[in-house]
Amino acid sequence: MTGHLVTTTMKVDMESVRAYAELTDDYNPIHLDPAFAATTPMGGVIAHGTMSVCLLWQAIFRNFTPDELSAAELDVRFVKPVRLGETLEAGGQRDAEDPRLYKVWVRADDGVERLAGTLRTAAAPDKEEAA
Amino acid sequence: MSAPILFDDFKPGARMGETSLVYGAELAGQWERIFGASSEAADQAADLAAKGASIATVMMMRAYMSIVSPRPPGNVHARQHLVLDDVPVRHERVRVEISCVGKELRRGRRYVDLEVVGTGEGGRPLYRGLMNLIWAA
Repeated sequence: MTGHLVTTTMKVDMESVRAYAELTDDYNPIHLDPAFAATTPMGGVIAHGTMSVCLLWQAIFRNFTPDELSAAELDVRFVKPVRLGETLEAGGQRDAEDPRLYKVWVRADDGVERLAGTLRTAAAPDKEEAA
Repeated sequence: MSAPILFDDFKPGARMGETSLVYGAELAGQWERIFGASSEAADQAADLAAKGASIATVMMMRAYMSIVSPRPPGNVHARQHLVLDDVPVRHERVRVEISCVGKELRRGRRYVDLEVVGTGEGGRPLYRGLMNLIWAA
């Protein structure tokens, strides 16, 4: 076993960003108004950070049972904004020393992390990607 | 409309409020519109649980939108920490409470820490989260 988690992917576009705004009631213009977003330090529209968190949860539950995730601790930093048109991939890798600790990430198609952090689980996962 | 909550208005240690949200069919349907519905049985079971965990995150955001309001435009999330005791189940009513637990001016940016606690029906502990935000004004 390599310790890599099975990954999940999604394409981010204006439609998914609008749908996520409806899901969370978060209509911050930095996500929806290109003219406003251009005036901010982000320099343009960015996707909601927690959309990447939801994608990461999807990956995590493909690898662990709910019991294994009881009292799980997820700690993530939004390291780079997600832009429209990017395809995101969420995954992770087990720590070499601690079998309950995973380095988790969401990367865009340029291979650069948009979200990075750790997942601490109650138990090791029931499945992992083959080598 | 009242003035937006500014960085100076946050009081670390102060409870900001609570709200009650239901994990209903509408939220579940909206989640599937974005993240899809799996066709394989094994993935369906995983997605059901993932949807529950995502809904916990969504409820954190919805409570934040409702309680910490009005906000200046342009706030962004810097970090999120979540301890997931259990996931909400369909039709469950979840009570979400938000408190300010810290604020800091660092490298010219205004950082605010909000603690979010979600409790299910019968007092069932669901999650405890910490949202670290860069406040716009």
